[in-house]
Amino acid sequence: MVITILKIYIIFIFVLMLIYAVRHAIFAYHRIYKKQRIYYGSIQDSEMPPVTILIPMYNEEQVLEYVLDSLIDSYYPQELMEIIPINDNSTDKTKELLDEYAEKYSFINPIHRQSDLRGKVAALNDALKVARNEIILVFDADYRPSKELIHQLVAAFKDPEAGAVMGRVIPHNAAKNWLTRLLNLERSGGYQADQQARYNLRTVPQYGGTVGGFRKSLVMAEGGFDTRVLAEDTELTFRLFTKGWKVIYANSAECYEEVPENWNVRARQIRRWSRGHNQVMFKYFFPVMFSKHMNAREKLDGLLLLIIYLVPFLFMLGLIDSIILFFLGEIGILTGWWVILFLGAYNSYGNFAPFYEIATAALIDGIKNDVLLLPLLTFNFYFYLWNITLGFFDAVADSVSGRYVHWAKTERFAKSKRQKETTK
Amino acid sequence: MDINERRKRANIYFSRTYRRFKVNSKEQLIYMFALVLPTMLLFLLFYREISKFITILVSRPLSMVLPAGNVKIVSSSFLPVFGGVYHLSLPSVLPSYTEILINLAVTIVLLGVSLYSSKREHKKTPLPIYFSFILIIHLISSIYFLFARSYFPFSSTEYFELYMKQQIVMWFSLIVLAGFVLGVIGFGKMRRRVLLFFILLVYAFIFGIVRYLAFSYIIAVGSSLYMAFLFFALGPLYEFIYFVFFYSIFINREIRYFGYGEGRNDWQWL
Amino acid sequence: MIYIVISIVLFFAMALFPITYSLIVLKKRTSEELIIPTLLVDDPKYFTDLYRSAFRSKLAAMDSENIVEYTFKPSEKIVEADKTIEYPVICNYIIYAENYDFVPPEGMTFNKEIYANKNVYLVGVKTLLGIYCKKNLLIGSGIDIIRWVDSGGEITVEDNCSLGIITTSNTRIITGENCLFARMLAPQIFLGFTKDTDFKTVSKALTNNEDYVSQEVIRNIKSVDDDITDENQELHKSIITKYDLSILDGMKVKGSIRSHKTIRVGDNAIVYGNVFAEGDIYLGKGSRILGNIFTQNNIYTEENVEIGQNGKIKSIIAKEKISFSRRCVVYGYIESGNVCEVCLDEQ
Repeated sequence: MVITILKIYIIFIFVLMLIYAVRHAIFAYHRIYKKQRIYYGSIQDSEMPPVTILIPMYNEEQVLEYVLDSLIDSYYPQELMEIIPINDNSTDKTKELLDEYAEKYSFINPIHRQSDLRGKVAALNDALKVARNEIILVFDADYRPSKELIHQLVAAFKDPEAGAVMGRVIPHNAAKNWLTRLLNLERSGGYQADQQARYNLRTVPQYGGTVGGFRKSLVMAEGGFDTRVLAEDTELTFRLFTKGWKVIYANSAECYEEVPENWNVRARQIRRWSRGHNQVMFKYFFPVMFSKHMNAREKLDGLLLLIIYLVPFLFMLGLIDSIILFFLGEIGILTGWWVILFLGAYNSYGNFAPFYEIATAALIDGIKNDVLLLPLLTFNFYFYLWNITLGFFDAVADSVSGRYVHWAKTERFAKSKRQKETTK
Repeated sequence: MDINERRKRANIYFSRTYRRFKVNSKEQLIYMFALVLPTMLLFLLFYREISKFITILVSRPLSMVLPAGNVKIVSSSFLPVFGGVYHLSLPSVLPSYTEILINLAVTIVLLGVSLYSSKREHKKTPLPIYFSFILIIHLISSIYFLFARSYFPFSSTEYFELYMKQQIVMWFSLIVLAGFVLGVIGFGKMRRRVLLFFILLVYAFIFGIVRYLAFSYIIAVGSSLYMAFLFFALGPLYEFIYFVFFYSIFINREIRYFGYGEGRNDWQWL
Repeated sequence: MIYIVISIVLFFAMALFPITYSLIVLKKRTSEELIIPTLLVDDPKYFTDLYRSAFRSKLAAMDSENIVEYTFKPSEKIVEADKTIEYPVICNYIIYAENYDFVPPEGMTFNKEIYANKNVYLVGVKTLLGIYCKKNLLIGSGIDIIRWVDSGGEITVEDNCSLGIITTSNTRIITGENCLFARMLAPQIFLGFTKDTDFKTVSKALTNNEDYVSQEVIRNIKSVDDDITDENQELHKSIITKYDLSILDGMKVKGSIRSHKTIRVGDNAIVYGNVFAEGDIYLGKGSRILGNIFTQNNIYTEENVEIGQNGKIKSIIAKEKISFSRRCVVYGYIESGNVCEVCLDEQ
């Protein structure tokens, strides 16, 4: 009986991996060969709406000048912009620097939070209460928006069904070391191939919470973001889809970001993503399944997307299962380790993008040389397996205990502008 | 004149946002039906003979170093229509307690080093996690043999049967994967894709043979203690690595061709 | 034994070779960061502005014989139209008309751009790469333009012309019939008009010209008809529907529209907001869309359709084709991923 269950589980994992394999095969094929669905970025409209830009900050003295200067230089009319940097209990010079900007620019109005309820989500909620405009854009503090990015993102809201818009991130520190080069490949696969394919196929493109925006009324209709969920962006994606709104992916709306430059930081980041994503999975699995507003295709892709950070844990169980079956002498060829490892490795190259999906994206983007590093990504398979599984356990503990999740931001590596000037 | 022709005439190249290729269904079909499917079929029809050839090839050097009569070639059933597989039959060697304890100690030490490395703040890489995983497998194997030595379910012959079947299926999967990746999704000149297909098959074949011989020797001269480690740690992941390696070289070439070379004109808009 | 040793060594070598190679690449070959275009590639005037500024550089760089030398491409010659009477039939020079109107002889082909500070009258010209004209521009019948047209003044395009990738004007563009283009930008665009039209009277005034777009949404309806509109045949809601949507003749929708399939706007119907669809959009005779129109497929208009509002810039964008009938007006921007046709079947 036990052996039968173990074998059935292996077959279940095999089928699950196969489903993901087919999903990504469709995505890769669609992106490289099928007609693309265009974004709204080329809309020319003399009546662009006013926009509020929120930038959560915690000890961001190193990078905040980049994001603020980039936004000040934007082509979007300053009289239509309201920028709210949200200083969340920073202990460095973030407050002083923000106050300097506020003195100089009337459309920059920082909030300095001293609340016990800390974190990006709580910070956004506070800012939403004072934000003047319906269209809200959110940038992370280490981002460097280009001059036309705001226009490109805001154009999405001309579509009455658009609840949120997500742009594309491009690492500006890609050349730093082998981790950043690998992450550059992953990002390319994730956005150029995966997100665009999901947008083409009208499934569930994801709102990423960093280079994107949403309608304030849709978020405030439920009292703001859920402070118990770490991945407020994923939560918003599914909240919108289950209520009949869409997330629009803007492949042409590109923004530089900083990717982690060491593996420790990457491990913490991926664990945090897993934790947040799994929290959303617990909350939205059945609402997605039974939503009146989502069609079958959206539901299927939505569910596969929801459980994507659960799969490594299931896979880990599958590995343990295989080992047990091996030592019981019950490992047959169809229940063999190779099947799931093969498919698992195949699916896990760039954080769930198969190697050919990454290669397709690298080809479209024209990223030469880095694609030769793909074999190195193979070892990431175990790295992701481990850290994502830990994240899953964190999420389970959060759900069971109902504990509040503290914000952990990704460590920054860039020198501040002032540091660079001093160095010169 | 459609937009692609207009843009080409106007010498305006496509940005990366929406560019794509036009499907060449004829090439896809030729690739699949003239190359991949026949290869799959031939492989299914001849895997029995291939396994026999490999086993004989591997048995010869083994016979030179192992006692006479120890190395045999046997066949086992496999797929119903297509026949069984040939594989080695060697005497099973159970590890002594000394061997088990030495392995246990070394594994624990190495595991400790791996876990310590994975905790270090600086110069961390994913390798310690990978090594930890594979060392844990050997640790489990060592503990198993320490307490349940006589219950180990695989004789050497059974192990090699499992290994050969795994290898056959791996090769078949590689043909399918290569066919899909190079034929269905594949882009670039047909001759390059065909060449890559054959390079992958040849490399896979040679790699399978040398691994078979290496594993056979380790099991024959060492003991069954190493079976789990060899099976789980040095198996399919390494098939993957070389597959991706050759594919990445091909893609890098295509990136140059389509980005800066003649292939620049092959892009379609939208 | 040697074979065993070789095979073990070969096994590890073949297993680790790909990793080793990648590590060598890591050391020896650098990565290149993706460049985000800093210029407005989605800006319709991107190419024209680029070429205009390139021309100014060329003008500054030309030598005493009007030759501009380059490092990596062949040199170009700039011919001053003010001083030139005769041109070769196939002209491979850049033309610069500084002080006088430019009126080239008939039958010419211009393989380089034309830059003119005054008016330009292109009658009987066969092919033209691109043109910038500071004042008014006349593009005579049958001209094939490869790249772009830009004018500070009015552009009049006669019948049977092909306008390349982008046509822009700071004031007005008027086209005749049987014209093709991909993108067009001007405060006023009159499509499929005859030469003797009085354009001042073309733009219809709304009796109640309010900019009112409702944010309240009604979902999954198939038509806008008397059943859901008020006594004035007005629907004060935005529409999001997964069905094909028809707006019956004369109806008014004071909101935006989003359909997952096709949209048909009836004769003389008015939509005050934006219109977005996945499928084709059909605009009936005399219909008006005051906002933007966007589809992933085609747009077909009948006669006397008006898009946008005078004094504002709005867009009509289709991923595939846009087919305009006679006497259509667009205030702003037209873009198709394939081709825009003006009265193509109506001869």
